[in-house]
Amino acid sequence: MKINKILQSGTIKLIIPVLFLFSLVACTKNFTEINTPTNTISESSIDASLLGQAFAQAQYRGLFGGTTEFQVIHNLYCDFFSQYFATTHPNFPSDQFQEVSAWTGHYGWDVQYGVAAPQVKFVVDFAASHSMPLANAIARVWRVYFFCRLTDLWGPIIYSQFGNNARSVAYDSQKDIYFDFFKQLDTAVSVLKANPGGNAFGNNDQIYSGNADKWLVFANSLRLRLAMRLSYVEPAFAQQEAEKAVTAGVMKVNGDNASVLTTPINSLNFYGQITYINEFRMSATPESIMGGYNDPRLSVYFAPAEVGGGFHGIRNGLSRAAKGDRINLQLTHSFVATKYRPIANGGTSPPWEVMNAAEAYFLRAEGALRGWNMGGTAQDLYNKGIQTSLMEWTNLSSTQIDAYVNSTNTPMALNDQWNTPAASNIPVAYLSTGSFEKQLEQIITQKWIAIFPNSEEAWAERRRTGYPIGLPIIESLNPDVPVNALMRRLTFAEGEFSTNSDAVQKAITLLGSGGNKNSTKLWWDAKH
Amino acid sequence: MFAASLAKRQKNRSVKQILSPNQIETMILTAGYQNKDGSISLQAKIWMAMKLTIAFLLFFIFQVSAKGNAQQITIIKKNASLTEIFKAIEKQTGFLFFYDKAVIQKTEPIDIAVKDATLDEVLSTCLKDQELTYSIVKNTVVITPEKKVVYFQAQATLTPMEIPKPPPVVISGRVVNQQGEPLQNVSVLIAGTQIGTTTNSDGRFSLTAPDGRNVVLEVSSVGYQTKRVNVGRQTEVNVVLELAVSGLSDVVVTALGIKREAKSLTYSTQSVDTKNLSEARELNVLTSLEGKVAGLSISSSSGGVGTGVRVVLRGNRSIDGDSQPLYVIDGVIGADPTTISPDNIASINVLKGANASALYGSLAQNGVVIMETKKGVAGSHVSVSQTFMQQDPYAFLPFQNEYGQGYGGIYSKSADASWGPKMTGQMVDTWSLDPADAGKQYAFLPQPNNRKDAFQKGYNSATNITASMGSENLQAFFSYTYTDGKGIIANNNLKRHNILTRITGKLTSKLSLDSKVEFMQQEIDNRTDAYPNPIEQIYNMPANIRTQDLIHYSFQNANGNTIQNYWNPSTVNGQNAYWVQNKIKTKDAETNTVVMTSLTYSFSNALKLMVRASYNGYGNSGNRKNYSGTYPGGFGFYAESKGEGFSLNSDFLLSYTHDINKDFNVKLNAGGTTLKFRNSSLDASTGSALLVPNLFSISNTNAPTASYSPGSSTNKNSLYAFASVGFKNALFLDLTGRNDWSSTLPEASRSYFYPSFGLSAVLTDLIPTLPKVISFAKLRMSYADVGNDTRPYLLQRAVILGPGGNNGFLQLGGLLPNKNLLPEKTSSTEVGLEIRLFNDRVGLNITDYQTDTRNQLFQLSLPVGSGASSYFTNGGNVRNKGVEAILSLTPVKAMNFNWDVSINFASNRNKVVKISDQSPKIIIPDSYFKDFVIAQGEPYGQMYGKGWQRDSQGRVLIGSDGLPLITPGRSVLLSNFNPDWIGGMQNSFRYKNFSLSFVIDTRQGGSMVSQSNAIVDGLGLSQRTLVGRSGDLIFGKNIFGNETAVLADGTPNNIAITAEKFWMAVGGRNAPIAEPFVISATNTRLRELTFGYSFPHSLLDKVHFLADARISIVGRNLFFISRASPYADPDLMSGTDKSDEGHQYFNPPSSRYYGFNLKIGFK
Repeated sequence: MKINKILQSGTIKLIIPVLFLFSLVACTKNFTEINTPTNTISESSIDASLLGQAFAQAQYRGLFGGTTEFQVIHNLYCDFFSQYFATTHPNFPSDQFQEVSAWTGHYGWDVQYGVAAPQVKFVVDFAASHSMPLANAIARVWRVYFFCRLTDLWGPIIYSQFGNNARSVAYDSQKDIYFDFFKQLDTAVSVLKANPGGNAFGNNDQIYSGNADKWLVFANSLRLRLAMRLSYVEPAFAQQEAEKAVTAGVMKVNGDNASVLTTPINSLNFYGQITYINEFRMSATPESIMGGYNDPRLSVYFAPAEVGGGFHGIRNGLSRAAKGDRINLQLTHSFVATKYRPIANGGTSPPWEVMNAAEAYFLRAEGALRGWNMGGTAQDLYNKGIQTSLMEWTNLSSTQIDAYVNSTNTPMALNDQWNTPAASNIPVAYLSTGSFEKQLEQIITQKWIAIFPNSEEAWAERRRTGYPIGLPIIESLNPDVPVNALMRRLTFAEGEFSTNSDAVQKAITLLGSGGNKNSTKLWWDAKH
Repeated sequence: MFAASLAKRQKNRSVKQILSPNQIETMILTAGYQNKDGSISLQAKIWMAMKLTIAFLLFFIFQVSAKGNAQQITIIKKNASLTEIFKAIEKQTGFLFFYDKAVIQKTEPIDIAVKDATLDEVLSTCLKDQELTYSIVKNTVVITPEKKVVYFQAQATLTPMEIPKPPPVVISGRVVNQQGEPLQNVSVLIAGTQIGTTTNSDGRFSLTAPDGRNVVLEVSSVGYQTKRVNVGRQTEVNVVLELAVSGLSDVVVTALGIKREAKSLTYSTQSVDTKNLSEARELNVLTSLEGKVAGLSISSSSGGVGTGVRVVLRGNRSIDGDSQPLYVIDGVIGADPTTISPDNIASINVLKGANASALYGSLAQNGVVIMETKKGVAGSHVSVSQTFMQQDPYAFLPFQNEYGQGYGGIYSKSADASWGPKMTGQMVDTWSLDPADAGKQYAFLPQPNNRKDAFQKGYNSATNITASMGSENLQAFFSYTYTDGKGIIANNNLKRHNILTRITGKLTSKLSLDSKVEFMQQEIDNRTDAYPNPIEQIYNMPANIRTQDLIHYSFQNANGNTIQNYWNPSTVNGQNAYWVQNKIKTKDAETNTVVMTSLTYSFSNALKLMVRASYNGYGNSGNRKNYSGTYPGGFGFYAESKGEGFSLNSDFLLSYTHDINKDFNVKLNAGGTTLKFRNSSLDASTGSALLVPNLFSISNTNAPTASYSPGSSTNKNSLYAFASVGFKNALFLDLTGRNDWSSTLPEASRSYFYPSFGLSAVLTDLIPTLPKVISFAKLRMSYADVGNDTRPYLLQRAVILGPGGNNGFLQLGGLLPNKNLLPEKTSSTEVGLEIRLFNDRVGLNITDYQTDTRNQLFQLSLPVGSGASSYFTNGGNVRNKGVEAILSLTPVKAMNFNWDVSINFASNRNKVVKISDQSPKIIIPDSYFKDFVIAQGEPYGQMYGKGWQRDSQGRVLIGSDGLPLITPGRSVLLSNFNPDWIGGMQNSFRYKNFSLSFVIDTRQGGSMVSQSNAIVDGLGLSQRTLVGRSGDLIFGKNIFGNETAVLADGTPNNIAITAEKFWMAVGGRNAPIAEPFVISATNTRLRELTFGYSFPHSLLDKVHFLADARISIVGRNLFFISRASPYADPDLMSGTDKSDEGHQYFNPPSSRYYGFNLKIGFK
């Protein structure tokens, strides 16, 4: 009854506002738009024109991930294990062979796989599915470079199953991974060869501006590097692949070098982003070797000590107490060269070199030493390597270069607080009549100088060959790795034990009896 | 529509701006001083200021523009007679005045402050309160006694009211309950008329009767027996209301702002006494709820003054979300309660479970805290209050004071650790890097106060002025609070302004208005949880560091650069504690604006329509300045961030009440809402380092960074209905249904519906044969489903274009999209019993509940090797079961003495019933220490970490080096923060005008992991690192003696090692083992104490302008009555995320607060 009354008296008053309000509520037509962020692109809307930017990211992030990742993996591990640098910081035990697994796991593994790897995969897959063979080939070569760095850090890694979007991702053995690398390079090289003068990605390619011919040379040189890594574990296969690479044409001049572009915003040279923290100095090893050789590159790579001048290194593995007086340690020892410092401190943010022609010569020299057909003798190629490197880093005249090549200088003992002995006794001048090991030591030591600051490669080659011998560290906190031994790998990431437990447990069995330790040798680490 | 007609009406009334806002403010703030010359009452002045203020505010609200006539009159005079003013006007304008001197002489002197005003304006101002009127004839102003129209104070701006002769009588008074406590919002009506008002927070009312004959007041309030009072010739009436038989005293504000009698509720709610909130005051009002609400637990983060809190009701239930309740303030959904002024809060009601909040929908699945701010009441009431509370840190970690800096027993001036020699006064080199200190030595002695010295006493102080005014038809409430706080760390300061204006009233007999504008502005300097944490720097200080040395925190080097002076320079977690406090500056500023307007139209007594719109906008900005010399390196660092956001909510509610017959009553409510959230933020920084030292400009760098986040846009629309059927006002059935449409879900599942129902039976009404001793008994049960949506942007994988390379970098997002998301659903069941005995002297309220949060939306981590970091999915069920009980007692109830006790108890058990069969575990890791794990079959929030390796018998395995073997991963279950039960006890005593109340709360069970302890132990700073200093530490014997430790061959561990070796291996910053750092969270403390004295009215009446005055001495967090571990305060957590629960990282020491509160009300 009452309702009827209301309807009669106030129908309009009531119904109009209510209808109006209901109509507001019922409106959902712009919901999809609201639920789309305005500052991003969706994966499905990426087209070929945007693939270049994705590849650019894959290249730069593919180096280390980012700044912190660079600091953790490159600086705190590879730089120390290669003995280019040593830390002055009491909170960094990696120089004393103690791995901070939370750091290596998170920055080393999680970020490489979380940030860089999906990007690399995306570009390879996108190019494949959109009929962009040249782009696909170039991205494949880069993918080999990227995963090679990862497997050389950990051994078994997630490789063939990467990107399966599943809750468990199996690891591959290092052997399987390396063998696949060569197949990948075969595929890429055949496409690159078939497209002389071709270009993909244009100037979004941070290394060669899309020049397919240069990528071909890089692919061959990378094959040579990978082949040499297998010299002890698969010598015949290594020889076959190395010879294939040299025949196809590897880097010969510095114009062939592969360096990732650096730009002022977001893609600076990584050292320029961490050196302001001022936490490391030249290791005593370069002081002994390069100082003993009176090497002109010493002043190119390092800066004179702030107090007292000269090029002085500190020993790796100082105890916490010894690092106590860090201000003084820092002032009286050499830092990395100014060009690697922040722009504010006079740095120039140089491009990040991933491979150079000198390295190719040293690889060929080693091959020749092993009796492989490398298009020259070990001595010639060794000398060529030194010359190429000096031309890359210095303005020396050919006479000066020859003088260095023929120098009989040897690494020197240091008159320092640790009474550091000479790191070795080999001269620069090639000991063509010396023992195989002496010659090998010379080749690898000169390569170690030439590829600075590529400490990933330097540490890998130290593990493979034992050269440069370097200096024992002062103190080891790792019972598995004594002061005169080498760290052989990083342990698997802690997060994997939580999120990918079954797979990482299987991966441990792939490591053999050594288990998941820093002392366990990788598959290719088979010299002794 | 409504607003427009209102504005039009305002325009016709020509409200004019007379004073500038500054002048008004000056008058308010200086009113007390003006009173010193004794001639004009404070009341009158404030009253006038109020009137001007409301005029001013209305002017702004309705955007009225008023242009004056040609005359420009300026008169600023205090205490001026009308004659004086008229003379001044004559002088300035040439107008002449004509009036009866006898009439004018009877008038009171007034204050006038007009500038460039028209003649009309000046005249209406000075004649406003004088019962005089004027007319202008040519150049003459004629003043005559007013004949017919009286403009009632504030009401004057609205409807003029005919007042017949004889003269009206003002009747005022106070309404109290049987305990003598004032009752607010009690309706006071003159019987047989429409004239009425409601009481204010002090129970006072004032109304004007048309004449003094036969006035009968009808005083009524829900839950109380209505009382009729014959006024007779009195003008002051005091009324005591008695509780309605078998009713509850409470009317509670439930979902959607519907006020209901507590007895009809089918679910559990608990109101909080708001009186103490403004007395024993906290900077964050939520903290004041601790110990007072059954089932509510609160922890604070370590941010210092104004820090955030984490509030959880009935346990954690959301896998992805934060499980914190929804806050609704005056119907504004999602309003921020953390910065609201407690002076403005009229009521707080906690709706605990999903049952209570079914009508708020998804946002409310973790319960709702409903707050109502104060409203104006008829009459005028002005009060000021001042609170000052000192903060005194008192519970530090137990540090050792025997050994100083060094390693291996040898002093090292640059050591961060204290494994050095015993401090016996030997001379050692200074650690100072200042060249001026070179070669200096000092005596190596314990400095037991060096850490305490680095703290200071903090305070918080609040000043509030509140004014309420109004007539029967229009009321206004104004409040301004200034809060000022200083933390226990130097330069950690807070300043906050809260401004509230609320206007309520009846615009016509059918249309009523409720409108408010609330503004908050706050600035916090140097939050202590900003990196680097100063508490950490203080705690990590070795015992030999002298304050006098440390305070010399910087010096200039030869190049003129400022260098930080520290014993272990340039380390990430080691900086001079004083440098951190003085040379790293952060500022966080915040504003919050809430505007709400609600109109209710009564079609009839039975049918009402409410429409409401509210806007809740916030802005925040922050910056950081690291001065040159701050680690990490460079010439300093600068960052700026800005963010803003709002929610816009429009809703309507149609309510219909109908008595079907004598026994059946039905209440129907139907409504809808549209809710829109938007936010965005912009951040910029100088990247790594500044070029020019200490020039804090974003462009002072080679590597600027900037980023913009468009935030998370969400729209949500809802329709809902609620029906309550009452039988004999004793049996109630509730039914609700709600449908939401959320923009965050895929189109197919965007719309979702959820119902609830409930039943309550008042047994004492239904069963007349119950024994008399039971004064009230009620049984209730309810079931509710609540749906929930999720975060926006989960339906597609994001790709971000950022700077880098030649043309930018394109980066894939790590979160995989899920196009098949479904809404989440919480089901909750509860049953409850409320019983009151012995005439309500004993009351017990028990609730048993179970919530199942099913089909949850959450992110599952994938192994990074899968190509994505995580994906979003539906599933899971987290179950919370528990019981809550509130026991209230009134042991003594006498004329002058009253003692009330309220005890609450809550026990909640939760279990993750299901997550997903493929991924039965969700892990939220941190970089160094522990995993927060939500695992199928386990309680929510298990903390896992690295621990001891054990054999099958549980014995700890010791390696050949004497150190325990450590698990390779974080596989050891460490702790769970969930308590076994929590409880609180509130005691209130009232003796005459004195009152005393205190709150004790307790938390039993639950444990935490302390990363702070891992670090200070690793550094050899704590007392327990004294064991084994000389190399005689044997694990399982003199340390961790409760463990059986064995060597590889199974023989008991007998390898002695140094404490340094042990603690450096298990503690420290980089790779600590978590198992040794588990501590119990059990504790009981005296949470709050208030001792107050209200000045009696007999005394106050002698001072004619004072209405009430109260002074109280207050304390909070005064001391622990007991605590299981001296190593931490379980109230203080590393943050407010769910994974911060039970994790401690250099929280501030426990602090006690004590001080006073003074509140004075004016007539």
